Amino acid sequence: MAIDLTVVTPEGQAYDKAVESVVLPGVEGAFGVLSGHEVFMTALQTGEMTIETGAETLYAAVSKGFAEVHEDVVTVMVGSCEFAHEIDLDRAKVAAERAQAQLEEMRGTDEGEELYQEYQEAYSKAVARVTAAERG
Amino acid sequence: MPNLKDIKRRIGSVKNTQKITSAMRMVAAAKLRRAQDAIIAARPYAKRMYATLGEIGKRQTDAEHVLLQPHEQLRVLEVVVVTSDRGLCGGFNSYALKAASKVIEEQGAEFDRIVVTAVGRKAAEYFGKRTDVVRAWTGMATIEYANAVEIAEHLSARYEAGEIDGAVLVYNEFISAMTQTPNADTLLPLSVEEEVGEAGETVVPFEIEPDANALLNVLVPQALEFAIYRALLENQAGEHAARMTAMESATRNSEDMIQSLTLQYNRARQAAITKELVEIVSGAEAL
Repeated sequence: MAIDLTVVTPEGQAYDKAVESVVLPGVEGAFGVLSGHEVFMTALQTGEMTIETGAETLYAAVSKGFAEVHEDVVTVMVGSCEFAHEIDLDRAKVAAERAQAQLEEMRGTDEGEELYQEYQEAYSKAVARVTAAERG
Repeated sequence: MPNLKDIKRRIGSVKNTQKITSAMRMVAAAKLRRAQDAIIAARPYAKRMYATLGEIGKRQTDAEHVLLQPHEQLRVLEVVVVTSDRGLCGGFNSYALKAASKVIEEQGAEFDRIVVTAVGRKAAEYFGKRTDVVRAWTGMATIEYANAVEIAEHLSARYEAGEIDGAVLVYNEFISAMTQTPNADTLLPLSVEEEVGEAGETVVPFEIEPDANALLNVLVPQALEFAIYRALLENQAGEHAARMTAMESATRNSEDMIQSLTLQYNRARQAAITKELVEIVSGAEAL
């Protein structure tokens, strides 16, 4: 049994195929969706998406968004979605290190919460890209 | 009578200009196609997002988000003006700038102070001389979603911190290759109802995890980002369309100019020949 997975970003449809299963980074932890999953909707955080097509396993880094699961139809709406083969690992690593350095610099200073969250977001994005790229 | 050499030189220079304008026209046409594709690519996302937003709004009427709440006191209004970085696109930028000036004038009565955020070099230059420009974004080669996210974060942070009490977005809407009309949309406080009207069919989910408010926390900033993204795309497509039209008429004008200059050149040439003949004949008669 397969599920219909559609990944939509503002820049276009990133993925639209029948797959075996998909693992998504929900705000309350990662969750997997198989055929016959309960109908629900949830917010997603920046992280890694894993798609099992049956023939292969695909990894992608996704940013914040939400997902809808409805009778074997899964719709994922995210700001960006990059598949492992599209990610330049070296650049992703550099970005992750830079983001980490920025975060550490902030520790101890009483800079605004806004900036901290911004850095945090940049860091988790970078980490998601690195892990996706390494696995793929 | 201008001399032959001068006219010839002018024809040459007009021809060169014509080459440039027709090349620019073709480049703009190619870019316009890509810009239009980007607008079309964004549509499924828009449809889904507004559908979901509407769904949440319907079932959870008490769900609140800080970006949806109007402020009690209206002190500062931020006007985001979107223009292109480059000129040579007819009246495209001046329409947007005029519309923005009008908004500033109209809202001046309601708000104590109006500040401007410029997107695109033309807006930055124009308002840089006139009002407070909070921030200017220039040099976006092609529009990416990340650009919109940056602007949205800037606005929502200021709104949440109470630095601004409203935001208006002014941009040129791309209607067709021939028409672009300036638009002024209220960005903040964001109104969900308005957007929901555009929503398509809705899928009714039975369960929302963790809860509607958490989902709204994701959705509302996304709706803001998307509204800005859309404006950037519309502006980009409009810019190329306007440039295409402007360059087309420039090419046509230079064609007319070449024609009239060639006519002038031929007249001058004939006059010169006639003059020479008269000289020869009268010289022969004198003998």
